Amino acid sequence: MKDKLNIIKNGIIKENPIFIMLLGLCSALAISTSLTNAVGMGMAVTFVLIMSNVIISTIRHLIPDEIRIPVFIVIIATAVKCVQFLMNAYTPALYTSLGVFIPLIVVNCIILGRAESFASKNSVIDSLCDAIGMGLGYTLALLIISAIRELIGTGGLSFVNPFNATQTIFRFSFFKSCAISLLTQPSGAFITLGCILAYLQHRRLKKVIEIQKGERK
Amino acid sequence: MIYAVIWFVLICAIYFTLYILNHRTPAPEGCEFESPACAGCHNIACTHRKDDES
Amino acid sequence: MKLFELFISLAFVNNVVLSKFYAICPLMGVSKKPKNALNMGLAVIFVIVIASIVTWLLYYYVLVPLDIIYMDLITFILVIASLVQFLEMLLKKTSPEVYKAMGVYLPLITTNCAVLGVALDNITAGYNLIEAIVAGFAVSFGFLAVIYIFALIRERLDYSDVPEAFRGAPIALISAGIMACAICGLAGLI
Repeated sequence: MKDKLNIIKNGIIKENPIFIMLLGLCSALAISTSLTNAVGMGMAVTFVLIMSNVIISTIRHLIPDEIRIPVFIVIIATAVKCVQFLMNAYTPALYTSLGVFIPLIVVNCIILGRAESFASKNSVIDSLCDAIGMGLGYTLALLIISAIRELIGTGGLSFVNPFNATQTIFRFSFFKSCAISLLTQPSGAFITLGCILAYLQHRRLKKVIEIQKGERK
Repeated sequence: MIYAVIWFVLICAIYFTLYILNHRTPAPEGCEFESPACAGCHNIACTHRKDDES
Repeated sequence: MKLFELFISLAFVNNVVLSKFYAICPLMGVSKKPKNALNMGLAVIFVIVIASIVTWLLYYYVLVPLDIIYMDLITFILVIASLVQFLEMLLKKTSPEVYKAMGVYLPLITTNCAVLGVALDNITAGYNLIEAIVAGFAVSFGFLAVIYIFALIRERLDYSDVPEAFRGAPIALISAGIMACAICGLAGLI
């Protein structure tokens, strides 16, 4: 049980797909304008990851080694199309606001990467845990970026129920007059992510310096 | 519905055939791949990625 | 004249890399040296133009008549992937020099958001065939311009005195953000 939890924690912290591995940035930067979009996209990617990881892990011994990548692409494309239809039916407002980025989950490097490096070599339960971990890590990273962009860019936070667009779960508005609306533009997305990565790199460098000081003593 | 299945099988067959043919065609001489250009890339789907990098 | 406006709009004003975030992964990964960036851009132009034509034709002459529009995503991604394999095989067999220069980037283009994104956008925007070709060429030309300029900037960033926490990916992203700001200035052009 403990190693399954370790796999999940791995996807959230140590190998976070956006902050550490820098995969799947296309959709992450484009979607993160509001919390609702972030949660919706995170849900979609987690669902696709779980479906594709479980299916690939189940049939991993039946796939000839030479045609691995094409088989993965076909399975992932089918999973994404299912998710697209489900979102069109159950979350229509989210479907229109996410737009073309739902089909673009197919070419998201995270899903193909996890399929190739984890699901094709491990058991079904381990692949399920890995998918959950990676999905949660992706959603968490998206939430952090969108929270910063929405808070500083529009001066408030708001979250709408994805399944029922008329139901606002919360809507806070802290300040309107000094909101930096650059952060709601595309360039704001780049700058936000750059600053977050710089902060994480700063923490990593500090840890390395501390370890080196400890070794010298 | 039947058209969808036939079309799906057809394009899968075309893709798998082209992939296998490409995989079996050796790169021309003098085109050995220089990995420094790809060192920062995490793209798993790239066929040039060496297997010991995972 | 409308085609020229379409070209300028997609290549510069609404550049897909800086405003729709399509081809970010290759932007971060490949653009360390300008020569590599140029070769990558040329490969992408090649693939996107051919892919736009083939996907448009397949959509309107196979998927719509047979009433299987729901197969569009699977068709597009498999067609793009087969196209990339076919082009790589063709280059390997016919011209090793061109393969050496740009063939190595071809497998990377399969998972490039820009190719699938352009194919889907052409259908959503309802372009006819000529407009789809011009849109494909404009998007890939815009991508080439951005990735080349970005490579030149990154080369100079290597020699600058960047704070330690920002070295590598963070300063590259912030430079891309400043470039996106600059592109915003063209917003009233068309």
